[in-house]
Amino acid sequence: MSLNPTVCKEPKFVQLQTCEGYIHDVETSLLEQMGTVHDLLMVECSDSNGIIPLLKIESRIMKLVVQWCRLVQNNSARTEASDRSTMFTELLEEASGDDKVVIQLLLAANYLHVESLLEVGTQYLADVITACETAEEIRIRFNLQNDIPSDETEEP
Amino acid sequence: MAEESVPEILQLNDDCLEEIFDRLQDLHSEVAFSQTCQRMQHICLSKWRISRAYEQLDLDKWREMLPNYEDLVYFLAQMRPYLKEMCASSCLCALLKDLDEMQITVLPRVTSFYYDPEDVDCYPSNRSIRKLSELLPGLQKLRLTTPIDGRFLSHFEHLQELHLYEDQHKAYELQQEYLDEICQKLHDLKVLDIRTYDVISKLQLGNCLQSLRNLTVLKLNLATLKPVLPAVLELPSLRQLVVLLDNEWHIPPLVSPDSYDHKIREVGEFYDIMERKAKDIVGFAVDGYYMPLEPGWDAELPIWAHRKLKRLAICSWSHAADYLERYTCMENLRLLCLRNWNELSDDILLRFVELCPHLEHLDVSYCRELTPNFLPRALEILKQREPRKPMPGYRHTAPLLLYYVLSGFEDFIDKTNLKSSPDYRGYIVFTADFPFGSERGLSFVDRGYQFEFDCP
Repeated sequence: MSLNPTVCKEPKFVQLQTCEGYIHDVETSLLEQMGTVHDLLMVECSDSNGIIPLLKIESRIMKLVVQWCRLVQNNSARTEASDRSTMFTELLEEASGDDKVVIQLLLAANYLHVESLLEVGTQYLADVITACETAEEIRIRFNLQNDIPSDETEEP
Repeated sequence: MAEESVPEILQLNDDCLEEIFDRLQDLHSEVAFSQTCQRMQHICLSKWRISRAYEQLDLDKWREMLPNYEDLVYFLAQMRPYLKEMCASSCLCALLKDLDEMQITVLPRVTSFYYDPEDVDCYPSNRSIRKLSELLPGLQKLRLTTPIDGRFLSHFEHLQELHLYEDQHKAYELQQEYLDEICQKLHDLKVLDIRTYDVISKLQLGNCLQSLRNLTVLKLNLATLKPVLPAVLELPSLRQLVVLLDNEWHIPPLVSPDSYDHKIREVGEFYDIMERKAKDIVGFAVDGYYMPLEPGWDAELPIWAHRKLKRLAICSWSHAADYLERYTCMENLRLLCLRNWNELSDDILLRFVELCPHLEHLDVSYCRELTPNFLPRALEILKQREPRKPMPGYRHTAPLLLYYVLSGFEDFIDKTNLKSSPDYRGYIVFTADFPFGSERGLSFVDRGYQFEFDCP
């Protein structure tokens, strides 16, 4: 990436490859928010071919992660939890995202160490669960099977 | 793919699920979440078990947190094996019945139970006490402040602490036969508090003392102590003796009430303890309002030869303070409590700061004659002793805790916000409270005295 092999010059974009093989050009300035990629970039700086593989992440989800990081960067003054929740909800609506997308985003955020996305995503799911009245409603919402034995008792 | 058959939410790792749990808004949501499947139940239980909010079972409080009865039953069933403490302020009989209906018959890990009912007419029956001993088989610490005769208390086989006294409230006692039973059967008993505030105690320890070999703390009325004082002082593990003066006293029938001096009688045991245990005394506290001690009362005490005092509390003293200086020779003093002294001056107090380098607690609550000038002078002494506090990386002693409620410099401390002053940081910590282990109010120990012994 650098003309001078002894100097590591930070590029404006890095290329992230998702599991389908698509390559995403992502501004370097966003990488501060992606702990995993940032660390990989530091390690690969001197001899990287410019592409960082992220084989656990789908392209659609990667786009949303990048969009989220841009939103956080462009709205750095809006750090209140409620503001972030609003930003997240709007992002989901634009992407017609459902619970499945939220969970995929959380998996990606966990993998990439995007703390802000982890916080807002877990809050979103917590709010969904709180809105459910009973355990059965939660099971229906998240397609869970009740595998708790009916006569289960805890032993001291 | 195999992963597609797994619900999406279960693909999240435990860290993520715990983050979701932490953001649920109330216990009802947590309970519903835990009832969905085994994995969520495991996540919730592991969080509940370590939460300080649920360390102690207070059924009244838990009913408010979980108004839905089924939620409460479920939550109790999950937490039952992990509860370590229990307290109750409503009727014990009703509480035990409620737990029965919820099929909670044993709380195996509860080691502490504090019963302090708000309704003073709610006395637990003996049947309830027996039921309680079955519910809490591992109980080690029991505090009961209601009238009971003591039957079935000996059923708490592992009991180490029995507290039957509430400050200034109690006017009833155990029956003697049950006190004997408690002492003879509870081999692990270490702390026994059988004080009674409003009447002369009729309890006797004559049949009990040979069983109390492990007792470290004994709190009792003077009337109970009088006939067995030598034997009490022989208890091999005794570290603390707290004596409550009885509210009234017997004047022998052949003595003239006009010439009989009860004051001499009521201090006799106090001096006796000072004499017999001089070499072991590491602390004593006395309520000067009730104990008729005149100036110079301590001039000939045998404790001077040993200089082992670490904790000293003389409260509500109405005579001159000059004689107090003799205690500055106790270089190992850690706690000095001089609450409610009429004549305590800055100069006398500064002598202690100067001459007792290990002083950690200084309680001058209610000493109105002290002035704000004491504070910078005390600070200077402490800074001269350790000039490099609070430099980072410098290993230093703990700051002096100064208890100042209604003292002569309370207003000054509050108005100048000395608690946050960088000048005093690391040297003096101001606290509007009382030292741990002392009673609240005008005296460190109320209406009596207290001794602490160095026990090998």
